[in-house]
Amino acid sequence: MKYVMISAIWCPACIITNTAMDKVVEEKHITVEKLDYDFDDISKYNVGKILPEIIVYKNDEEIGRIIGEKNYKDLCLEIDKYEKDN
Amino acid sequence: MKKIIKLLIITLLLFIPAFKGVNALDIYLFYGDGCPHCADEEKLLDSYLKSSDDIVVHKYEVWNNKDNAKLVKEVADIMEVKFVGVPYTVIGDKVISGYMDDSTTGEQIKSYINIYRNEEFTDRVGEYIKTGKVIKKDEPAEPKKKEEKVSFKVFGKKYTVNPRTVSLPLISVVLGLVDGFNPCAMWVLLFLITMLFNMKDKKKMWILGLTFILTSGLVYLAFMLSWFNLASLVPKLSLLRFIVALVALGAGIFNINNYIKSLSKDDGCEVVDDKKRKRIINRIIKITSNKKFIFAFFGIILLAATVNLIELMCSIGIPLIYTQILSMNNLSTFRYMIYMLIYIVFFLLDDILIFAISMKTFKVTGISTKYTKYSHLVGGIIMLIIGILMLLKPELLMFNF
Repeated sequence: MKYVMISAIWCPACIITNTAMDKVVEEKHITVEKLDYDFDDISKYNVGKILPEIIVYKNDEEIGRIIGEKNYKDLCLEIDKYEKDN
Repeated sequence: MKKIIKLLIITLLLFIPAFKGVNALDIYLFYGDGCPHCADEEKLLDSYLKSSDDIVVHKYEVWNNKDNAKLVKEVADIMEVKFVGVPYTVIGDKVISGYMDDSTTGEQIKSYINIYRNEEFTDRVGEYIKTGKVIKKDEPAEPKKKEEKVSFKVFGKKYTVNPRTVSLPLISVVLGLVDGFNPCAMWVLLFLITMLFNMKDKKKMWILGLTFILTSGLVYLAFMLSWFNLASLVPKLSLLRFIVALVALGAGIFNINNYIKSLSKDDGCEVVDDKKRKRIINRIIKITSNKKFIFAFFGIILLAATVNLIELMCSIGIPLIYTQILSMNNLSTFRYMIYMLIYIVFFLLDDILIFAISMKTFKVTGISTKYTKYSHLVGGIIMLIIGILMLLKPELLMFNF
């Protein structure tokens, strides 16, 4: 499973989710690629109007998206859902 | 955090007794453009009141302004002193018709000013101009109410206050805080903090960050002062109040609607106007990477001023309503400034906290979008209530210190 997290420096929701994501990565040893909305090429990800956006991939195929601000608890629940189902 | 809150509350309470000692006085001068006696009186008032910030002279030109010509006749009816010509001056409960010279009428004016500065009276002209309510001589504006006091506990310590005395400071704090949570200009500060981290020089980072925040506050203050001056120039205050009441109602409904809409959306940052954002981002990068600190310093001032002017439209409702409430309260210039400063301090509080925590931890801190969502709801309800009061019961917003 691979996660691509698209966030922005100026976005408070991204800062909060980023902190939660760092903790989740440390605990669950998942792979997350972090991209910046303004400085990286994100055109192929078709990002919506709400940040942050986490795109979930399994064998290079998108299987879901986690959209918006998530605290550690909510993010764990979302990630667990994908990890367990797959 | 508890200590900061305690300190703020104590600071706020310290302001209150200081306000009680001085009596603000409004003088109403009806004059004609080109009238020499009026000019003499204006000269006397200007020199006599040079250092009296608590006395405001409201001037109305009656020869060329039809509204003012009508107003002076209405005022004359209320004061029961016939209007026979200019200058026509109302000080407290007294009318001075005409102006002979400084040693006669001038001295009379000075003595009335000294009397009404220290004595309680009903400002019947002010009441009429603001609310349209006619109060006849010897009829009090409202029956004198018994002073009510409210007791409350903060961190175990008991405080007793008079609700009438705390109303304006409290409204300044609440509106300032709610307005501060408005996320429109917050994104610029967060981006700026991240870019400041690249500078590696803590002193320069603090100077530039605080300059940005303080300039933002000054832009707000300038806007509020301009609106306040505009409000004092408009002869028909009731019309202006009506317009602001409509703005308050509209902004209230808009904010509550935003909150309701956000319930069905994901919490997060809404991406709007890519072009404008990228332009500001590039400016910040250019400023923070400038080798010459002086250019970076002035660049930050310019950036804060332009960003806040642009983003002002996003949150114009609350400062507009707040300034209108202040202008309805007949305060001295000194008090207006103090209240506006209280508002600005609380408006900037979240920015200052975010900046200080980020600088201390060297990690950008953000306020959850959940709180900004609730600030829409709280702000919306407050604006709706104020809008209704301005239309139906404006006297409730005049705290009459």
